[in-house]
Amino acid sequence: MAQRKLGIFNVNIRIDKYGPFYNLLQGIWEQKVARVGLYILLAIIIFSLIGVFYTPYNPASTQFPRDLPPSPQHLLGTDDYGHDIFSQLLVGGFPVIGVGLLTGLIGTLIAILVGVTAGLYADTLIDRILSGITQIFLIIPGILIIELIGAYLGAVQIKLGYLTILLALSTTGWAWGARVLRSLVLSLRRREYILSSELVGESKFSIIFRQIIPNNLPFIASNFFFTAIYGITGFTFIYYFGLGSLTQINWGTMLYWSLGGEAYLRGLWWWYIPPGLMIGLVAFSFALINIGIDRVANPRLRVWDVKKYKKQLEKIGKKEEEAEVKWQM
Amino acid sequence: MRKDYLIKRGIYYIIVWFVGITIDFILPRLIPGNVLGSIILGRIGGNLSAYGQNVQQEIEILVQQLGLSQYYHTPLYIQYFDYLKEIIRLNFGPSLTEFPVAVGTIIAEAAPWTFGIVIPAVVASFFIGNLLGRFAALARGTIKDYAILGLTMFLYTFPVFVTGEILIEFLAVDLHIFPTGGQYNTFVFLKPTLSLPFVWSVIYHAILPVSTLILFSLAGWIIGMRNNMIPILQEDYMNYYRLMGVSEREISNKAYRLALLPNFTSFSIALGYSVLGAVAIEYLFNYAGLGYYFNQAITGLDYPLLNGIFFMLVTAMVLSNFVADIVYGIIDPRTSHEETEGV
Repeated sequence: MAQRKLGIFNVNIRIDKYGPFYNLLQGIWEQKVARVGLYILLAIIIFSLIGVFYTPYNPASTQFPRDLPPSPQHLLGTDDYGHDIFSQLLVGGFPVIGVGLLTGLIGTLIAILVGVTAGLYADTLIDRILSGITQIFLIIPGILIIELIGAYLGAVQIKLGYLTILLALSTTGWAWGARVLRSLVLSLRRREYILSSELVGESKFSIIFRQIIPNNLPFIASNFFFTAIYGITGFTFIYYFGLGSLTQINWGTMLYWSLGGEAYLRGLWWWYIPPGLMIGLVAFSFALINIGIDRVANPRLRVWDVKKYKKQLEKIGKKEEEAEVKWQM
Repeated sequence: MRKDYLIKRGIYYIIVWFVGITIDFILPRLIPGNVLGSIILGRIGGNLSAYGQNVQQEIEILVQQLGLSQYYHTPLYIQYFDYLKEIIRLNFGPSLTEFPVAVGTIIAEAAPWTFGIVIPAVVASFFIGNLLGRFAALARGTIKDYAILGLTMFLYTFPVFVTGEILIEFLAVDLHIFPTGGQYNTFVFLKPTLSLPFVWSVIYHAILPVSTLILFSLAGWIIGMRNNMIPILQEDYMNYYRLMGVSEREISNKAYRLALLPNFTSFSIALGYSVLGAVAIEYLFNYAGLGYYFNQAITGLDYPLLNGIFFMLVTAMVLSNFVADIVYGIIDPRTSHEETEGV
């Protein structure tokens, strides 16, 4: 345990041992909002995991009577083509969650690469070029470009597969993060401790990984979920316009077929609301975690619960009495 | 506001606009020419002489623009200049799904409908969202705050077209309060004039799509407002106001005005998002705007129409961003002096 001066006290801080990543995770866990988001996400992942091993019926089978309302035999009824909707819902989750999370990951990596480079080499040619590209992706919506490309691929009978969708979304979704990271790095670069490590002779590479990225970790984490939400939105948009491969079963194709069957005009709510709700819940859980990260990064946004705060202080006091820590006034 | 700041931003936007146009130029050329050619000839029926001279000219333009190598042999840069020349005249050739109507005509008819639902939706959600955000910031930490934040956040992450579908099913199909789609009542043979029944019919038909867009874009304003206002309410000068005996209501008014400023920068982004939202829901509401034709063009492989609409949307985004920059430069003089902050 490291001794650290906190205000006027010398206290033992457990967090220091584990570094900034653990620090952030614990901070997020302490936010109730983020915890609710994590629980929702976990529930949906478990739901989809069940679908991998077990479904009540074969999700691709079309032998059931059409347009059945929800009943004990078919928990969410059947659709126009005689599919069992609950089985499809169980199977169709992982592509959406996977594409969302991977888009977040790749998009954030690109954003770090572009943003940090542009920030470190500010006001040089590299920065101008990178910033220009960032600006273009900020203004022209990536989803629109993907739809245009997808429509042209339709001419040669190609539908977008999961990998293509993932690549397309992650190469268009990084701009916002890169722009903010650039300005963060720009302000960080002028701080004394970066300057002094430069003077000591620390390489740029090591400065990036040991100073800049740990210092911007909350923003990077929040950008991850922000990009993941973009990924999920983009995924549903691509399927909504029928540009994805329609033979696969996922929440996106379910929405597409329900739209084609005009389920919303015929009162077949059990066909389009469940997949829409699931997609919404995944993105919602990301958004909730994001609010939590926001509050960790920006303590002024935290709403102090005075009673809870007092209790925490008492707890800390008790622990420290037990450990007989020396209090220096 | 400094002039060179404006010029710098202007140059950036012109570059962005050119990139958008160039995407429009490159994509058709990546597809084998004979494939595109057969699609076009298949749609038209191959019998070009059946249509008038005008149409033949338009088809030549179309062939040029799509760069079909078997019809048009010129170097790429000449093709590009020809393409730019035609695009500046808003000449995209005839549409394939609505042959022989020119794409320009379709867009000119469709664009007002789209902006007619997008702009009211953005303005309304700006006001409603900021007021709700102010309410949430003042009630921070209470159940009201969490309810507002959670509900609007959920509506934001919910696929926008599913929101539209739910509104149609429950308000239009089940309860018959609103029409299920269309721009105005076509059963009564209303003519598109400025008569009162027609205007009322247009507004009546726009309520559902506009409210779908409002529900979709509310969360951004609320979170922006709330996150700006909570720190401001805790500032020292706000405490000083409190000590001076200024009423809590006036303090919140002052904080609201200060917190409103950063939200203006989001205005253009919101406009862009709402245009995308409109593109997604117009097909649902059978609302013949840009999004409706975008959908039709994708399903019908109508590339001239697709290019035209993409061009329109990119132009709208670039223009709205530029206008937002100018407005923000006027409101907040600091922006034009921050050389390093703006990308």
